[in-house]
Amino acid sequence: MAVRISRLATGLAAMAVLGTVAGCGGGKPVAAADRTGELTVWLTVDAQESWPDLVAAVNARFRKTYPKIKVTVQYQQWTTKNQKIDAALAGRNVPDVVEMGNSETTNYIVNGAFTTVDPAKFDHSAEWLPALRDACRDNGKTYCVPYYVGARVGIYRTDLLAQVGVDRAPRTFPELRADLDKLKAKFGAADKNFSAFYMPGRYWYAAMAFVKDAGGEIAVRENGRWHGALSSARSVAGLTAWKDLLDAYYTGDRSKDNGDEPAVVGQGKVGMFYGNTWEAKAATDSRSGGDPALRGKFATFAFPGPSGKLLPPFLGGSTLAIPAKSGNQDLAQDWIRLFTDRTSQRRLIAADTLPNNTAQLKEVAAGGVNGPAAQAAERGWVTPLAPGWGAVEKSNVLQEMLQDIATGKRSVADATRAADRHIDAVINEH
Amino acid sequence: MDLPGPPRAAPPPHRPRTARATRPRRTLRRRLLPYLLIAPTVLALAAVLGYPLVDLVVLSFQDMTRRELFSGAPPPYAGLANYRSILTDGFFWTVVGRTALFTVACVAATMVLSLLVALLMRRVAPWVRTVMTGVLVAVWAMPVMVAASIFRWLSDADYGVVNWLLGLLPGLDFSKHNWFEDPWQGFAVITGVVVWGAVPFAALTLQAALSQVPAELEEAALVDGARPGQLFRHVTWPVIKPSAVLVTSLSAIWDFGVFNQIWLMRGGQPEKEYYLLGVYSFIESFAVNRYSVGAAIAVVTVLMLLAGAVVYVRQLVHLGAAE
Repeated sequence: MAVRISRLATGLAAMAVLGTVAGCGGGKPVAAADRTGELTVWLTVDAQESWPDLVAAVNARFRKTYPKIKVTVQYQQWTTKNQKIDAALAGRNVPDVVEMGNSETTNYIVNGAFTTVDPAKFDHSAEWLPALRDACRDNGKTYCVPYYVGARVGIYRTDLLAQVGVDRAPRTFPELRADLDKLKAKFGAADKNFSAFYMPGRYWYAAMAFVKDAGGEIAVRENGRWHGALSSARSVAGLTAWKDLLDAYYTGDRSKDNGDEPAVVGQGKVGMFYGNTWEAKAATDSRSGGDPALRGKFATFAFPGPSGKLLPPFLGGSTLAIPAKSGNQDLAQDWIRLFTDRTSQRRLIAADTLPNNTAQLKEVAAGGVNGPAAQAAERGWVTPLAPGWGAVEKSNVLQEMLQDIATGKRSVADATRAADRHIDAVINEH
Repeated sequence: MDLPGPPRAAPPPHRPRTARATRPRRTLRRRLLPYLLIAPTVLALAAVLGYPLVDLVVLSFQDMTRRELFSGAPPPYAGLANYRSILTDGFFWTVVGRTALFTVACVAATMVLSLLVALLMRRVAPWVRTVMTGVLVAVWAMPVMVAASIFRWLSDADYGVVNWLLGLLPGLDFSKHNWFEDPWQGFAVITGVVVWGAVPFAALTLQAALSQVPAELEEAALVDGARPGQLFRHVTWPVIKPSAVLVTSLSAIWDFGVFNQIWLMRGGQPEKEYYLLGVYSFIESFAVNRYSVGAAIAVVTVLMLLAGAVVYVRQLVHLGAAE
């Protein structure tokens, strides 16, 4: 192990040196040091909140090559980002780099919003995670650069589990249910608001993981056209397993989504939940509605699925793209190259995020908070890479279907058939 | 919106002119002056309302997709295809009916409540009236964003105050009751926010109108033996009717276009059962990216509002003729 790490470190050092050298030799008509202008980068607030030092470091490295270029980084909220991007792209004054979620890229790519990039110029591009790489590709060309990825894991209260005599995270689905039964028997009897397992009804990333685990799909492509596959037998089986868990262990509001999950978990009435690793931290942070008294009482585990394998997590991630209307495409590409190289990725791993490539996925410490996420990421999935997927997501087809199932308003079969109809209506539209 | 202005002042008395030569210039200037004075308003309205409205109408006859949006290429013309697709869609008519019903419910509740508040304000001691006015203005000043968040919290299924209060009543168990699962109940809560926000303006306007009712007229009616109901119908109501008609039509226009309250109360992800015309148009345009279909829905909405406005203007003209 020690030998491997030192070899890896040497390799990385060598690459870092080469990278610097390559960065210096521009070969442009105007020397890099003399170029003037502005580079506008739109990142989402994640960078501002979780790795602001990485942004500063990359800007400093960029300045070494282009001292006269002024880099402006603007932070966007996920909820309003795309409307702003649409408005900007419709005009002339466009940002030079935009961060795009991997479920958002396809529609922009097929509509010609982004310029192509040459993967060979980017670090570890041969090992880019398929979840991000595929979202950037269309007709064999690459239109964006993978940035980072996140995978959901199981998170449990170590103290509560210890009180029912369990001293380790569940490894199989039956073991998980046995632990939840114990939690429910001990704490649920005394408090009807106690959820052994927290799973709000509109939490579609979680529910779709059960669909995938059962071998189902959200939508499939046949003869060039996409259509919904939620009413297929396997998808229905997955959703039925999901509903069983809700019925058995969840006592909260079934028409909610997971938006305030950390705050709810912070109330102390939840034994286990399925979420992003940072949510365990947020549940102990009073700023996000959590309870500091719960600090040190959460641990993560790779969530076992009903199929006997790990529950395949949604690999929600980000990519960086260059608008076709940008006047600084080469500069933008250089900035992205620095921002996604292995040095930068290492900084992301340190901030409990998963890197953009399988090579560095192995650097994520197995015992750390993100170890189970790295482990589960190998079975990760992405939303259908269909032109109209964004429309499906934003018209809340999945959320409404799940709410109907969770509240018992409709049977799984009826709700999925209706959802498939809604999906078919928009998924092929540009 | 046109507000009924004060009665037009009588033309100024004709003054004898001393210098005949200046007369044509002065008349010209006098004739131009009103147009000059109204010009900034007309220009501002044309810029912020006219231009977008024309653009909206044009867009509704095109087939605009993101490709044209991003490349700047002119979108192809689609003729009446967008209108045909929405007008033949049963869901669109469901949304129209729902919007109309919602508007009627909101306006009726707003008018009844604010008339009661205004009548109450006439009866109470002056200091109570001052307090009531202050409270109404405070409610009016409350941003929709804040009001909607508070109502959402009040009606929360797990931690809401409403469920807790109802649960205190004997025989009722409202714990974990979700107010938004059944759209009728959900719309009741949303109507609550809208009416709550609309009552102050209506109540204060009606109260001002009520202050115009001559006290001696009411006294005379009472002396003649009029019962309170008759007094209101035959003496008070005719005086405040113009204001009431105005407030009713304004409320109808506002409530027909309600968007924020629904959007905020449903956490930015309204279920299809909660679509009103404004929400539907927004979702079609900016979530599904059918910009032209969204525009067509908006144009139809504007036309429906115009139909309502015509009724309102005709009523105003009638009132004017009667006076």
